Amino acid sequence: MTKPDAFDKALDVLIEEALEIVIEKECEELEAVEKREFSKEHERKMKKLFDKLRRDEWRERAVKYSKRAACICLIGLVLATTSICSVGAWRAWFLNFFFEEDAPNSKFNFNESGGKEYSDGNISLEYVPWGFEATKNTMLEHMIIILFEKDDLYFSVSMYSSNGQGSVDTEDATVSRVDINDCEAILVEKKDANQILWRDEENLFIVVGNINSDEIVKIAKNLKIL
Amino acid sequence: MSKWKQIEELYSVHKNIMFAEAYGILQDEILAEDAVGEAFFRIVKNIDKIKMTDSVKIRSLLVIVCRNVAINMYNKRKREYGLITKTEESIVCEATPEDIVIDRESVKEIAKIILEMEPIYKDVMIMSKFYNINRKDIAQMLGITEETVTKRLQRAKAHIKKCLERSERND
Repeated sequence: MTKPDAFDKALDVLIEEALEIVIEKECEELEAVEKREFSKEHERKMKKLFDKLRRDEWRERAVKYSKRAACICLIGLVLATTSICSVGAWRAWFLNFFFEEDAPNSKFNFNESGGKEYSDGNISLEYVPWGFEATKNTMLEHMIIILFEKDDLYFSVSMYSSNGQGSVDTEDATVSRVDINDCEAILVEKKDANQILWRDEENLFIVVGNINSDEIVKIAKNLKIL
Repeated sequence: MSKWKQIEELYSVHKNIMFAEAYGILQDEILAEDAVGEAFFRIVKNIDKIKMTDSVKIRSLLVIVCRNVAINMYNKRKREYGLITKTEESIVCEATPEDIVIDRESVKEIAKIILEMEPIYKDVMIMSKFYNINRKDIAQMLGITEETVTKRLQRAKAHIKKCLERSERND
């Protein structure tokens, strides 16, 4: 550091100390003055300035808090969506809340396994694969047939009184036995359609369709008489 | 306390002293009121930079800003009326560091020099060195350019050196 630099630095320090004395003296000189009535024009201008300040401050606060609120809502929405999608019961409740009833005398409900439920006062299907709609419901004295369709896919659920008889075409088919609600059922799997038949003490049941045999079995296992 | 309430309170407490300072320069009530309004407007823009709780020191700063606004208005009026205004003098420092001895005793003498200095130099020095306001904000508050702030600071310091050297010689 050269001598002029050192001198300047020392002078700066002394100036800062001297300014303390200067301010003290200046403040002593700023004695209390008489209160004065300012003109209306001046007061109007100052009021305008303060009103603008107030509005600016409110606007800044509104922006600040609305950003916070938006973030909180977004986090809440993400958490709610994640929870609804991951918990089956909540997902079913959510879908039932927003989806309207379908055909008259029938009721669709969503269930936890990802499908729908169907009931029409006689039969209750506790599992209907997603996207299928009941398009035809035939009800006769000894017979009920409900047809479900989705695009090119279909399946039907039939129930016949105990006097009813059914026949199955097993040509080029794989036949197996399946347990449906403690009843022995015959599962017939063919290239273009699958079907399952079983009977209980009162009725004969047939579920047939061009859908996967696992789905056919699942529908059958979830069929209940009301 | 919210910002606008703080400013409203500052105004109601210090407006009379600011008016007295401006009136002392302008000798016109309406112009003095305008100077007070303009000074507040400039202070409001920089209120976040004024971090003081001492009411007396805040008052001193408000008076400084108001004084400079009044001086600017005075000079503008003089120019409009075609009268010669007092221009800033170019203070040349003839003293070299070797000529001046400074010690703790010099503080009082420096204080005296600053008190007797032209307000335009004194105020800039106070705002910069005492209130630690940066040059850009000083320029905004006083309605001058940053270059003018720098020049005034340099001239103020040079004036102090010159006076100290003169005092050394007299001793």
